[in-house]
Amino acid sequence: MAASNEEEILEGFLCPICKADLKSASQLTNHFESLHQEEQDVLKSLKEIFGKAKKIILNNDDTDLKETFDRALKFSSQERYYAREEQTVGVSRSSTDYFKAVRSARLERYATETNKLLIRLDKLVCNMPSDPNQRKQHEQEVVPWLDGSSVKLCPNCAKAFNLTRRKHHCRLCGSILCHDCSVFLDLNVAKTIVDPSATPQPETSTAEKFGLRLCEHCYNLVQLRRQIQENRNVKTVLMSAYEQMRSLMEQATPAVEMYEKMCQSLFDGETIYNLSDVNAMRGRIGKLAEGIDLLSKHIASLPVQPGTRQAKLQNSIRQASAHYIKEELLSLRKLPTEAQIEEVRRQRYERAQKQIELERERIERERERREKEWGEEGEASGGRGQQHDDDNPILEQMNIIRDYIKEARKELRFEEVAILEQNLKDLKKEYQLQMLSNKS
Amino acid sequence: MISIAMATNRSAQRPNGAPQTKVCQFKLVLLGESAVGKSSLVLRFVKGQFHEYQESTIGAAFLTQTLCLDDTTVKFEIWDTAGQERYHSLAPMYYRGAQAAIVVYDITNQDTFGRAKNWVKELQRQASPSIVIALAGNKSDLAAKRMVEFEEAQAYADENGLLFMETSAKTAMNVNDIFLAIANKLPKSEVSTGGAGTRVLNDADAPRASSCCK
Repeated sequence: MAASNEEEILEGFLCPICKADLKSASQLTNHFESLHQEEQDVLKSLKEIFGKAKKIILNNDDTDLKETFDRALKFSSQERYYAREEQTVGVSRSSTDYFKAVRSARLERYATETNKLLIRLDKLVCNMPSDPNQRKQHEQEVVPWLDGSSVKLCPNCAKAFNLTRRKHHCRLCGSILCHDCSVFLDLNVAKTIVDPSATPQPETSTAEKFGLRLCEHCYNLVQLRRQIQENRNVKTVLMSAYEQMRSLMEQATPAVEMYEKMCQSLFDGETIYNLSDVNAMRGRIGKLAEGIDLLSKHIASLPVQPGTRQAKLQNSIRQASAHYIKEELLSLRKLPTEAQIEEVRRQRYERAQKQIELERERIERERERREKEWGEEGEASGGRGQQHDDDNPILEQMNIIRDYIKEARKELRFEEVAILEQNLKDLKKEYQLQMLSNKS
Repeated sequence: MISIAMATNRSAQRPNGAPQTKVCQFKLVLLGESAVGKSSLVLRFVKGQFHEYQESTIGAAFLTQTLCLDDTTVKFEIWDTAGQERYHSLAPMYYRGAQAAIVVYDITNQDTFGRAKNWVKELQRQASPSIVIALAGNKSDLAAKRMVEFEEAQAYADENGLLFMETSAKTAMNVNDIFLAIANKLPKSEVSTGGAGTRVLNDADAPRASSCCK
């Protein structure tokens, strides 16, 4: 095929210099060696490749490659022909048993190895002494360390041991390795591997900081095991969404209770909570409801085959939560208006004023009666008891409690607000009593 | 094969569904001479902190902390009173209606133990009859300078039916334990589910409300 058309792709035994097509490999080499002698240095590598090819061809006693090509061509066309026709299943043989035999042998080796390591790891971690010397002894009791006297090179990186490259031992298999080849397994991680139910503790005392020295092989096996463990505990999307939703519901129920209490207190004309407090609480409940709604919608829209139990489950979750929101969260009592509250408070205040008035009159009468009875004697006690207001510990404490209330209110801890308001009320009462007793 | 390793798990995992827990709320008051470590005890219990130079309390401080027992959640509403004499008049307001009290003394100071006995007497006379009283000998890290013997305090506590522990807010020794012991001794009846504190509040509310209306 000559290079008549530039766009055509050239194929065949082409000379890399003049692009002539030389029919066979031996002809090409001959052509190249005779005509392009001078370029040989530049194309030395090319020649080498062809030389190799030539050798192979010669060994095969197949100097003329035309025949081979023909045969190959015929073969491929035949194959194409067969492929079009439908084939009947011939004699077949099951290789499953063979596969299983090979596989279980490999798995067995892997599993026993891993288990051996895990049992050792358990023993190591279980009663690990914190003292470094005792720890070393403990480690050697569990896993016998290889005698290193005849080991001159690190078996992993083949570098010679010397003063700076010390011999170390893998704590799980006892083999020797250098520091660069060792991997460290954190002790807390090790604990969770042998006992997955234990929650990892964030304690890191200095002695345990370094972890366990392992060789790469043991480390990989242990890590693999850990991965399997973690995968097993992975939550599905549905589960984690559901758990989130439940936790929101758990927050919502007491919030609603609190709201009802606060609302009632407003209607009763008490001054423990402000209208803005109750509104803030209402806003919080609204946010929770929104969150629950979103999550349940998300659960319902998870891709699932219709008609399966999971589809049913997802639907029921959505329905239950919609019901919950409607019944529990959106049926909140309406808040009284500012004017209503004012009115109720005013009435309450008036009642209280009247009560105080009556009380005062009663005390007044009593004192007059007493003064009549005792004559002049009462005057002696008149001078005492006019304490300085700033000095009074009760007033001081009232201010402290007011600060606490402000803080609790800011952080929406309304239960605490109620406790503190009650205390403030007690303090006021106590203060009034004190004043009264000072007067009389 | 791998199940062999699973068998080494020492503790069985809990079932996932958390059981419905009761929530109880209790009012607890701390009493004792000044500088015995009341605030330090509370600070250690609530925040896990300790300040070498804790400022002296003015009036009474208010803190809350929640403890989880097996099937109940106990919420402590803690009133940490000032030890100074001038605030003594406030104390009755706080031990009145309290379900628990911790009377604190300093084991390196015999006077504070005497004062603690007075507090116990006052509580027995004037606080709720069902109040749970705990006696805490604080600063047990300073045992070298001890002036109050453990046996003496223990005998006194036994006589008066008090819980007793020597504590150290500095080293955290027995701090959680004493609160836990109190929580365990407190009655956790169904009545207190809505919060014993609120029940007490309602009691205090009731007479006042009626006196207002008529």
